[in-house]
Amino acid sequence: MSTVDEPQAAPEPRASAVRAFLDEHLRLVSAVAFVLGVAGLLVSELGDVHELRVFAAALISLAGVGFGIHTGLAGPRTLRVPAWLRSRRAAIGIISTVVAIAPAVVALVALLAGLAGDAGRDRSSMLMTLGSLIGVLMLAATLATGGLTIARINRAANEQPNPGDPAALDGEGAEA
Amino acid sequence: MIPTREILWNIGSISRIALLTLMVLPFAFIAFGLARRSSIWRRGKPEDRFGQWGTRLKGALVKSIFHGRIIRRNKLYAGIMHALIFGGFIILFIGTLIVALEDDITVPLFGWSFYRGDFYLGYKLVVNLGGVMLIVGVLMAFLRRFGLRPKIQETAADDLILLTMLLVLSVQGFVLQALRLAVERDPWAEWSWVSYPMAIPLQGLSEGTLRDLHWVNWWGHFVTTFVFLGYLAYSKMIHVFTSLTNVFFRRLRPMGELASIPDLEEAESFGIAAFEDFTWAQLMNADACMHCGRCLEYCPTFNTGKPLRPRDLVLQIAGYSADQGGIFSGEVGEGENSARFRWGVGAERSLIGEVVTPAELWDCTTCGACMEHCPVYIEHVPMIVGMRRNLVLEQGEFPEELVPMFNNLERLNSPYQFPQNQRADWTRKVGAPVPVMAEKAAAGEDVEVLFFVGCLGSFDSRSQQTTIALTRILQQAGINFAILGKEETCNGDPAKRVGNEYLAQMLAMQTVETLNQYSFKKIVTACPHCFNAIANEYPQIGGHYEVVHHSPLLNQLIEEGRIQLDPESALATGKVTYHDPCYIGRYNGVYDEPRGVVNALPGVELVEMGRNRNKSFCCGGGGGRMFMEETRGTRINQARVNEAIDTGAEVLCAACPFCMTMFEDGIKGVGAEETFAVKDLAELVAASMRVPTPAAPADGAAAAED
Repeated sequence: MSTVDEPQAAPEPRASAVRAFLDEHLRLVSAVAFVLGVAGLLVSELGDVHELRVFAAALISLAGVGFGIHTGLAGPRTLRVPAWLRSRRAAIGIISTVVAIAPAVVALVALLAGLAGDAGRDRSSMLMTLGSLIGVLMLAATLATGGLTIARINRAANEQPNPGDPAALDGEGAEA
Repeated sequence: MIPTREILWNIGSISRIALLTLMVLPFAFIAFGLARRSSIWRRGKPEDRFGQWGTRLKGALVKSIFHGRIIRRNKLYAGIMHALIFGGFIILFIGTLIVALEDDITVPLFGWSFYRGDFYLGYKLVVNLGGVMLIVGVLMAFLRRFGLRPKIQETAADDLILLTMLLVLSVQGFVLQALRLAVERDPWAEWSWVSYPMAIPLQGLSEGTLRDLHWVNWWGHFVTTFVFLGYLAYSKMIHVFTSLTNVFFRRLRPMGELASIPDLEEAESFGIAAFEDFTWAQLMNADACMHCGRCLEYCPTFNTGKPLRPRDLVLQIAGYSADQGGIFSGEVGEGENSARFRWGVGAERSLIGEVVTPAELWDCTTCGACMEHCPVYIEHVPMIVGMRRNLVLEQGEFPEELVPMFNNLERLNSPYQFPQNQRADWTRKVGAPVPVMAEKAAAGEDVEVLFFVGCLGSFDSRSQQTTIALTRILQQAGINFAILGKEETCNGDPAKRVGNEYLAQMLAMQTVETLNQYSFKKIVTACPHCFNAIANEYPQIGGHYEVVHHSPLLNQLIEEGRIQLDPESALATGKVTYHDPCYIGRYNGVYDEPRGVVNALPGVELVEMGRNRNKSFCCGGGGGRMFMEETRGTRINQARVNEAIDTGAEVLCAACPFCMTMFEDGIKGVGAEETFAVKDLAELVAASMRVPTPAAPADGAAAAED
């Protein structure tokens, strides 16, 4: 038995131990959370165990947060997915706009078509008029804003890069 | 029947599983964006923005959440528009949370449903209101961008994508509700006061069609929501997080205080020349910009066609910062905007030169209009001065007109080429002895007020008239005052604002050393730049004094009846307009006292310029600009003089020697010397002041005897 006091490492606080573990294994933890979340969701929805749903959803959300933080806090480097998204941003912007507005536009056009339908003949004419008016306004607003957005994305994507580059803005100041 | 509805009506289990599984994506995108941005901020230098948590929280709530700094009297349209979008979005967001709470927690876990009865009816009422608010707000935004087109507004694809998504989310919500009501025909449907009328024409369609439309729109709504959330952290919508954070961590020090370079003698680099030179708070500033352009509205450089646009400067830094941190910063177009697309250009760019030009940096007058009007407390001026510091102290690159100023400050302790022993020469023109601190101290006499004259007031013949006027007023009011005379030196402000921190600190410490030799109660000065430096910056180097600008002092003397004004005054008659100097107005909040003085002048009518008080337009002389040539755009001083002339006034009243000098030049520039004049507040008061003639005391005595 040694009589010499050997240096001992201070006990690591529990919080920093958890943090160190997460720093090292966040991606793995997130992946496990995602898999467990999806499994829980399947059991919840297909097995009618709805009590599980909120926990499954929480696990999936936390998995997303974990993945995001893991890659976000990593040193700046070119990541394939963001780089791909960046290079196709104009196309993604146009597709997203069309996908977003198309179903609503179809439904609003259907609303106007419904005016001529014969079901429910007892419909109040005042409400019919009001509903149609709201529908027309929403349709016009959706089409106008969507159209302006697509036109602006298209214009932006086709313009020459770097107009008004600071270096070319004013040589005078640079020489000052 | 109890009013309620089936949550996820017409949506099967598979769709629900897909919805909840794909939730991983928006959460991952948001977390990535925020984590990446926080890692960018953490690479900045330390800056203490901690403590005073209650004040910070209150500010974030009042100024940001409750729109205290967004809705302003002259910004009602934009403010209400933003409040509608924000309020509508928040209502819909809370509405969604309520549904999730019912469907995922209270019912499955506790068997308790609250989403029914009166609560449900009230919910429908409010959520419909939220949707309408959001749509109206978005349409107001489109009208503003394509109809009203304020000159401060720029429209990029990013702006429209976000606005359209917000509008579509709301429209989709109403459409979904209407489609369900058209099938279900709830007896309480009218509580959904927008979608209920929409459901009536939809009843003309078959149930199968309605269900199909509902299912497709549900997926559309779900995809739009996820795309919106995924895009949020990479677009200007990031301001939802960053602006709030920025307001919370705003600087709580006086606005006029420019932080010194600590340990200047030991410093290895000076100012800001690269990404790592910004403080974390400055990097957060750049990400907090919501592109509104309010910083441009009263900016003297933007309004006179100069390259510097404070918003673009901040966005250029944001783009540079995004490149450094390897994050997508949201612009769709390459070239649609002069500043915002500049991410992705490359992290290797040099900050000064390739990101921000020296022309932009040197054009700033440091007037503070950008900071005063920024809804999210971005501080442009410290960033600009930081980069100027690097140009001056490290690169030795600055406008050549500053060379004589630096030389004079170093050799003569004044920006002007006058020897220090001539500082008190103006006293000969007063007509009465002007006490000097050194003599008073030597005689063992107490001094109540130290009159800090300033360099312009000492040497410039025009500004000397203000100094003499103020001296006569002090004498007339019977104030026990003295000047420093030959001991006075420049306070360091001109050097500090152009980035020569070394010289500024030297001058400031010299002044503090001189001031600390003497005993006095307060300092009075007619120069707002001297006032600001002594009041707000000298405490950093151990100079703690009570300082008062002459405008509040004059107001006090008039109110207390210590000086009497003569109704027969010739100088002060007719219309007078008052110009708020930046360093006394915006920086120190002195607005009412000078107006009190002008209003007290007999026979004078105060007329305001359109841009007044905190919206005042700079004279063009601050930030060292008075010592530089104005070679770009139109002249700032002439723009302000023309604005003053347009009021119909014959006199422009100023309360700053820098403004006086700039306006004298401006009046000559617009050819109005014959019809228009600039006067300092002290000059107007001195001219109107009843000065007892030698006979007056006898008259007074006779009157008293009567």
